[in-house]
Amino acid sequence: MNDMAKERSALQRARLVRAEMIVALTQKILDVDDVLAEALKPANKALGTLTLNQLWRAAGKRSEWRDVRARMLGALGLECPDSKLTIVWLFDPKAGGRRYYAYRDALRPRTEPPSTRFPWSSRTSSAYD
Amino acid sequence: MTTNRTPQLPPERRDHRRTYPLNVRVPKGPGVYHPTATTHDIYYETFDEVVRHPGATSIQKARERAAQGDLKLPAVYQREAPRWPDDFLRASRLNRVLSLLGVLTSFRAVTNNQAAAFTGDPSLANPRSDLIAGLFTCGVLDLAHPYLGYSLGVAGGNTTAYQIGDPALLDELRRHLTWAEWFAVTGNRRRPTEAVNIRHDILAAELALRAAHGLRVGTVLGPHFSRFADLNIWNAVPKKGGPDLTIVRDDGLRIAIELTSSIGADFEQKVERWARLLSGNALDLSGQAVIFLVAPSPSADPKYIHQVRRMTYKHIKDAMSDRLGSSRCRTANRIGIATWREWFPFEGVASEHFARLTADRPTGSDPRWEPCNMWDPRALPFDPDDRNAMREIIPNAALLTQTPAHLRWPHQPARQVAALLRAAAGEPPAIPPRRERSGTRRPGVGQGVAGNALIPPRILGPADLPKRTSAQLVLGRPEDGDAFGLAEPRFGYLFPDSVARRKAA
Repeated sequence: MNDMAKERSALQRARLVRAEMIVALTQKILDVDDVLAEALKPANKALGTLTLNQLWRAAGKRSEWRDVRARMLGALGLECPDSKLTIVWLFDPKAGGRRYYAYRDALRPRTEPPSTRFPWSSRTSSAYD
Repeated sequence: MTTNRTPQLPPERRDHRRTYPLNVRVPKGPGVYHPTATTHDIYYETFDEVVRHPGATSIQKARERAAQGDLKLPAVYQREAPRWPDDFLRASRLNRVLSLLGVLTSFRAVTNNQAAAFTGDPSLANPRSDLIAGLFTCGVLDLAHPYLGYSLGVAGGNTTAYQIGDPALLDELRRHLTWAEWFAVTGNRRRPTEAVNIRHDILAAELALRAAHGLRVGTVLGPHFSRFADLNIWNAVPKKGGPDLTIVRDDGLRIAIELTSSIGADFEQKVERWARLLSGNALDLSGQAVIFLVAPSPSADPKYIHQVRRMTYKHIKDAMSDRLGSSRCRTANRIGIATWREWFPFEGVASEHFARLTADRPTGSDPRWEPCNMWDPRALPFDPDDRNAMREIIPNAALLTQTPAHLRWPHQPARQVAALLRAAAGEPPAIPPRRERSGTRRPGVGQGVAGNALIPPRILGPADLPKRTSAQLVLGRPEDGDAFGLAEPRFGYLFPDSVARRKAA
């Protein structure tokens, strides 16, 4: 009989980390970006299986997620169920940063020009500094 | 209107020693243009009769009139409307839609041939094409026929004007677009709310195209991007309103064009606003000049045409007497008057006065008006403290689809958009590997023949050339020595001979 205690313990720890993050999102202690940053730390590998849908819903931004999702998948030319859109999927190195860029692009405000006097001046844009 | 005599009124310059055929034609492909039977001289042929030019027709109005038997709706406009925006999100269609909407957002109304010339896409010249018919039946576009007003029945064989129909549909489209795509259409500004005046807007668009094709311009900007709020650095005038067009010289000098078809009640205020703006913003800081281009309908009563011209001279003379500017920077040096007939004496022909933007300035004493070639840096010198800052408008305008396509692609808007994206989003982070023994690969760095990853084309915005979609080869990660990470071009048409020659020079 195999001793699965170690695996069961790891699973329990992973569930705990994920649950903590969801609670922190619900209570507005953390934002979605904070959780994504946490997921990049080696100690928080367990967060990788959380879906973006879970994060945005926990943060109380269900309708915003619909728009972000449509823009992100539209830019990538993909159709994916929400269950596949995990944190690991977002940062997967095989995608070469494309998914990350598409996600970030979907979040950019559509009402702010890159500089206050664009296109006549780009002085407030760090891209040209 | 008062009838005060203006003794110093100079004669209209109609003695042209040289004329040049206009080169604004429908593009056949990148860099290849050909004339078509539907190419009219907008001023002399399309608007040669003094009639009220009715507004554009929406699909609802067209169907109502067709039901009443007033017009016969062409078969393409009777089809069922495609789904908006889902049926237009395919890359090949979306780029054309965004290019057209960008032009319409900025210039408010353009003809079918102007739309093709602006975007470099000949298919937009056909108002009965699948794309235009789809946009019309969806309600995104309204169509106008300058000859017959609501007569859509002859739209295929003659000049047709496009303008934006239901603006709420644009908001719906925005929800599906990437940042760069929406930005290319609107510059992330609020939608224009000014009323469309088809003749006025089309003449402004025509002049922008003629300047873009005939002069060595930096760029041209429509009224949406040439507002007083943009041009007025020191808040000398209210921010509302602006000129009909701005032509930017290669050295960064901005020459605003005010088309004057009639002298309305607020014309005097408009001249006064310009005088305040010019006297309150020195040339070396603002780079601003203005030309009032008198363009009443050519078939109007000659006495009326003369009166419009005379009153324009009078109002500018009066405004200059109050706003002299400084001894270093006289206001009168930067304000000029010309007529459409001086620059374009006949159908399809430009004179040498257009080639130099010759205009009368109130700079003399006796006679008061002196001609000046305002396009000539020797006649209107511009030596700003920060020339790079004044020229920033030229590459920036390349990001907008309102800019004629041939002025966009030399500045490689895809590279600029990638730089803005990286500034906003940073580099893609690397997630820890699942197993400890696995190596961490930097995101975007490829192995083997596949090479490094590319940014998805839609994130880089609409194509600046019709065939550019598949060739927007901006890498996800900058290469060493290339801050923007533009991949080497794989296709010859990306860099035609003219660019190769410029690079070699």
